[in-house]
Amino acid sequence: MISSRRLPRLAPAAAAALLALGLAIWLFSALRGGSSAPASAPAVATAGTDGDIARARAAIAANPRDAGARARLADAALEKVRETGDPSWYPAAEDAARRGLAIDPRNVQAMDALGTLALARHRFAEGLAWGRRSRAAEPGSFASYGIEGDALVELGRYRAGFAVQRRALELRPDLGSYSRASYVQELLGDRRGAIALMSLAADAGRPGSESRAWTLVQLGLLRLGSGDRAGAERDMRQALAERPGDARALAGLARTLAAAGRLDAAAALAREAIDRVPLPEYPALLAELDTARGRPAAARRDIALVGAMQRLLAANGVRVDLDIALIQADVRRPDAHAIARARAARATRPGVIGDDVLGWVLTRAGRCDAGLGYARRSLRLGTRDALMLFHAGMAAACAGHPAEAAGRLRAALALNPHFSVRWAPVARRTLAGVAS
Amino acid sequence: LHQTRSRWLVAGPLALTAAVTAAVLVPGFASGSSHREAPGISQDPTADNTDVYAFTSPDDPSTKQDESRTATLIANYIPLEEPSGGPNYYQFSDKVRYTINVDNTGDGREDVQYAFRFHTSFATPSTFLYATGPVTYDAASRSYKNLNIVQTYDVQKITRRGGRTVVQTLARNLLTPPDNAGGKSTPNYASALVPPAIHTLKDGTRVFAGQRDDPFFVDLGATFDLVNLERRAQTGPDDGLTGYNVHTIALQVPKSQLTRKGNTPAAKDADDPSSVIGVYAAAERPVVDFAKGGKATVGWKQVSRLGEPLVNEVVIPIGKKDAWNATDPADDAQFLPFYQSPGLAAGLNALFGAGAPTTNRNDLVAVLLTGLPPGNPFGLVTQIGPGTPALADLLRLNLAIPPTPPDKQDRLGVLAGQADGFPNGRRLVDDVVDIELRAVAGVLTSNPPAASKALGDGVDTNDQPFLSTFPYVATPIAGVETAHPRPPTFPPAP
Repeated sequence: MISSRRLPRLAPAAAAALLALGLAIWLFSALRGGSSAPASAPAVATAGTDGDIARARAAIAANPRDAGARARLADAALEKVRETGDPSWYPAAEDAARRGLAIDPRNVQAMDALGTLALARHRFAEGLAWGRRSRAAEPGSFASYGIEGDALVELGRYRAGFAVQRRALELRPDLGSYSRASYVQELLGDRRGAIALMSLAADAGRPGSESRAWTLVQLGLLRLGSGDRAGAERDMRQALAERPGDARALAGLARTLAAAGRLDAAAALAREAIDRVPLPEYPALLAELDTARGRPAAARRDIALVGAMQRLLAANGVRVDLDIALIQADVRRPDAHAIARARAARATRPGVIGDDVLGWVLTRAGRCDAGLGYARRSLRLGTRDALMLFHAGMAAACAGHPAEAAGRLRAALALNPHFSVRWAPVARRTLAGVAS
Repeated sequence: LHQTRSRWLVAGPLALTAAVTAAVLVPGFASGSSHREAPGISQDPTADNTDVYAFTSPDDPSTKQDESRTATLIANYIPLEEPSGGPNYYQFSDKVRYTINVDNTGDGREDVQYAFRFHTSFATPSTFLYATGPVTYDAASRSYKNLNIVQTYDVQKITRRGGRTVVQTLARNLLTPPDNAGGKSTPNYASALVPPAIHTLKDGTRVFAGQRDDPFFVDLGATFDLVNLERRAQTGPDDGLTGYNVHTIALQVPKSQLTRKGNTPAAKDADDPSSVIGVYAAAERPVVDFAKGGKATVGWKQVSRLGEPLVNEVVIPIGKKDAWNATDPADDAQFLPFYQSPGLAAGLNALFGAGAPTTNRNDLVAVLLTGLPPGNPFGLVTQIGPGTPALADLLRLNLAIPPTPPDKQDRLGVLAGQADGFPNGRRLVDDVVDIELRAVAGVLTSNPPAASKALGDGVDTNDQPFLSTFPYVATPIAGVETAHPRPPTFPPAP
């Protein structure tokens, strides 16, 4: 995953990140009992991005003042993270983009790379600033709209964010603007509209590309979220046919099979995804599956792996506090320290997702009135998401609002009776309790 | 051309939801859950218009020796198709509106537009196979036997005249040929499978839509990284598009249906701007607005367009490419400064001491944006008239100029004294890379620098022979014949 030829070029920070990655790989192998090869080079074709990187480096070697080549190197490094999940490319991307911008302060490609990077690291206010700076410098380049819109949405500034996403779609309907518009409809609770827009996004992608596979997986997840398992499986398998070994598609298929109760097959796919790309969502998925399969020791190893991967992300500048808060809240009852961390994390991401997580953390800690307040806020856009509805229902039940609880839990189960191997039975039990 | 690599890099927010969903197996926020690794490069090959050609049909002389009745208009999409593209192969998108547009008044707006919409169906939906046996054409049922994925299309003609718009459906459910998968799947491709896909419509127009060999030839590496032009002098040229296919939409239209006056211009009309048409092609995708919760297509938005070759690559700076692709030719005046002071001229000077003028390039403006007016020193009129022409990127074709027989066509077109060649329209043989390099270096100025007469990328011809009859573009490379190392060698984003 890390090619040796990169080593001499690494800045100290990047070297530290490399060490962190090495540690993670070691942990990863150790935790999994050495059952298979450590995270090795993904089987999916990365030659295209490697070629982009090689060409950009050659251009920089020929002319160190070539700001455009440095911006292209930053782009390629960001693409590399998408393909491999290796976050040590983030510092490399940042370094290249900042140098490019130092040479040419009006280079919008470098600004867009820095904006994209900030969003990837969950530094949304910073991403917003880059998006706006890029747009001011060059209104004829449309990438800045997506960056600004994403930042506004994640910051909970929905009215402004949706307006920017709509404008981006009007300017250029493409995979990026369609998929963002799809997310807007998903947030608004319009799953059919979200599916239609994500289908348009997939149509606008190059078969075999990482981005087109991503849209197919999103499409499958949207279908799965409303209980259409057959449709979801078709999309996931299409993504795998076009891009064999794609980790997101493997994990998406794992979720689909899990929803159908095929836990062993799902676990095998989740392990394959982990082998290819070190993203914490994959061992978190496997932990859920191992728990459901009655293997608590394996699940504990999976969760430890989640932590290792999150530390790796954090070492490369990614904010992961909200993620950690949620996973920990599912694993154990949050203490005062965990609540404080969740509050701080939500402050950096004050939209419905931050509200949902903080609400769930508070509810799990027994502070159900406060939890219910955030849970209600998390549904203020009308989002039809089974897990968020479940969180709100549990908070309401705990806070002594049985009618509200019954309504939320019924809605969650009606949307998708298999929304979680772990929590769906809890939802049914609680519903039976509050409804009686 | 082959990389309108509009690379918007998306962004992405977050993993967080990743965890949300991960912890629960079935995701809630599908999109949110993977925003952190939201898609990167949004290439859109099926809506990527790579090249446009327009020429007087050379095989169609009328009763008079110096006249040809029809013009051929060709638009190509889907760059760099790998012939062995299975199992999915390539096809037009059912969700894209493809257009070929003709301006005959000089305002940059289309007066005649041909719009193409495709429909894909599966003979046997349960299989992923492209073909379930050797594909043959069955004349009785007017369909291909054993072809699983079938694409047909409708053609509309939209005519705008004096504020009135007339929409005609010229044809429905026209067949496209299968991709050239190879000998076992698509035997006798050129002789048996392509002819049924060449259609003659009720108004005399002929039309074809389907896979072809990419007729563009260029040393991609050398041309887009100018430094390499010198290196190539030692290593020999390398046609970066050898062995790749594209998807072609080709029209052969009676000239009288394209000209303002409704006439068929004869050689004597060559100095009359009414004999000139301006052509561009485009691809549009739907903008859907769900603001009211319902499903509503509110309109089509242009995502790529092409008139003169290479304008997007060599004239328009990188930060303007998105806006340029979304802009109608009628609104091209905003890009005038990039024609007047092309960055490429300075580059050629720095690398080769080309001596190219770098400012006030009215010669390029005339050839590429306004057309050559009557009375110009080249004796070739490409201004669409009458009246003052708009600044618009259109491939301008003077329909009065008689065609050169195919075996006599010279790749340097007008530079070689052939007035029916580029930049008067564009024939398949025209070496637009060399012509444009030389034009930027100043070969069309009143005092051409010596270097401007010799520049070139060294790739002078296409690797496959063009056809002598419609649709002229060469037969696509068969899937079994070639395999490229994947992926194709892209040059750096221009």
